[in-house]
Amino acid sequence: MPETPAEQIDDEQTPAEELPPLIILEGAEDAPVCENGVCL
Amino acid sequence: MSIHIDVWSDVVCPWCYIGKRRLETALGRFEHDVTVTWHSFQLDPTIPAGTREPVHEMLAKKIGAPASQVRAMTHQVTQLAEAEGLTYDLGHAISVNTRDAHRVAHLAGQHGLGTEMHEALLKAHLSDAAVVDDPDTLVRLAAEVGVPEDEAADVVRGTKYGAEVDADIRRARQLGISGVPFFLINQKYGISGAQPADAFLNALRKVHAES
Repeated sequence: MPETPAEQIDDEQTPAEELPPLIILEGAEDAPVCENGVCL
Repeated sequence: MSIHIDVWSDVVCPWCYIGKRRLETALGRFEHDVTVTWHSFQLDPTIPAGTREPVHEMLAKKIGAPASQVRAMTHQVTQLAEAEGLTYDLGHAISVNTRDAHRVAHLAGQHGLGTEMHEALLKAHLSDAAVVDDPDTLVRLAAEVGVPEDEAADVVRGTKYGAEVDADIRRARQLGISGVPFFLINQKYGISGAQPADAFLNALRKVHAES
């Protein structure tokens, strides 16, 4: 399974290198999420 | 090595309830012990406290579509929920600010009832069209899962566990989480979205094999 670093974010409290790597699952990019209050 | 999953979710999130069921299906088929902690995430923290609006109308405003179109669009998630044994009633669901619900969930977590409380809140909003910022409803739901009623009432009437809600949301932001559900395994691996049960199971087996 390929892995990719977690998206780097702008936050002073946690350096990007402390963020966990994401396991990218097959089809993960299509897994539905609710975002910005919208869940369609 | 034991496996722990941290889950970020909002109690008004249809995909979170579906994701919860799918994760539970995977856990039922996984051969090793797993602990799960539910964390607060607010899909829309800008909703003013006390503001209530039908979900379809809220969504229609957000995406700029007529309510009739939103109803058709939510039909899909309702059908997928049904496949997981969940009955959604989004046509009657009421959009609210979920901060108080999350504060009560943190109280439940202190009693080892975080998963049960999250389940109760999701069901209340998505299936039962309960108003999950109503103080009496929150106290009732907490009591039903085993939280002492007086403690729940004390939390609902005050501001306790607000810092814990903020900390969960801050951590989510640090992790780059912009949508929920989001699953973090052993503080190391992240999985986004309501993945199929098989995907969760494969991830669990991979993490266990590496540990």
